[in-house]
Amino acid sequence: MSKKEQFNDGEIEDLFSKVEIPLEKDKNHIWSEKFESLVKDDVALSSKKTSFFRLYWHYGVAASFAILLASTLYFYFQNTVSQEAMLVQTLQDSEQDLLADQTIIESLFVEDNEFDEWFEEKYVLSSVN
Amino acid sequence: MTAKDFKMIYDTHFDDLRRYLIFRSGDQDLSVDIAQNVFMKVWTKKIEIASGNIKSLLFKMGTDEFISHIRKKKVEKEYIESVKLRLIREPDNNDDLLEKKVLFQKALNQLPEKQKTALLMNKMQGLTYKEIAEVLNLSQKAIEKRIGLALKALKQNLNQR
Repeated sequence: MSKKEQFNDGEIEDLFSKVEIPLEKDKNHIWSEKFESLVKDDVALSSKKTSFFRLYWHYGVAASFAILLASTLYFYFQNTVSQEAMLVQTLQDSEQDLLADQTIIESLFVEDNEFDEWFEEKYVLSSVN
Repeated sequence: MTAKDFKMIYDTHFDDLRRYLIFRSGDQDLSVDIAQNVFMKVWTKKIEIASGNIKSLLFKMGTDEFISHIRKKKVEKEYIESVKLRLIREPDNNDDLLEKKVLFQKALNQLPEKQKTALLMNKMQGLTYKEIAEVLNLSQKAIEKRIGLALKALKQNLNQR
């Protein structure tokens, strides 16, 4: 075999896959020596920060619900009171309107000579009521 | 980045980065120190790695640290020619293959430092020409040329024997 045939491209590629650089220290050993405590400390610190945030988060949600509930009740009662007041006013108005209408109609049937007498009677009645 | 993500990156890339730094520096302890510094930076600065290529980013950081170390210590000459590579021993090796492995190992170690670095980054670490160019701050064309020359020199070294 000639020397030039010793190594072809395929063999060179294959040998490359077998190249090794020996490592003295094991990476797991380095991890436990240098990084494990660092990462744990950082994670512990960030979890404390997270719980602090969560505390506020819960308070925030509770406060929002309380505000929502309080404003709903406040507006509900305000509406009820004003509606009741409006209803009473409406009833009173309609009663007075009815009485007025009745008086007007009655007055149509009163004779001219009897009108003064009828008016005085009505006036006294309305004053008494 | 969560601790779990960091551990996964460490498990996947720490040894690769160390190997790369060993064939750059030839120094086991220095490669461990630099690789540790790189991973320390990744963790403490919470470098975002999801968007880019983590391997080339780590190699770039490692290269920068290594160059900065050389500049500080002025020990570049000491490192050159000190890299020792070896081939994996397999139980079924026949004499012919074993001889080829020894020849290959010698031929590889004879390559100029820069050519060997680019070649091993490509063949051993699986980095693309583009990634090597980014890591070494060179153009892709320069890397292609460097690897081409390295392969040519390697074949010459092998077949001259």
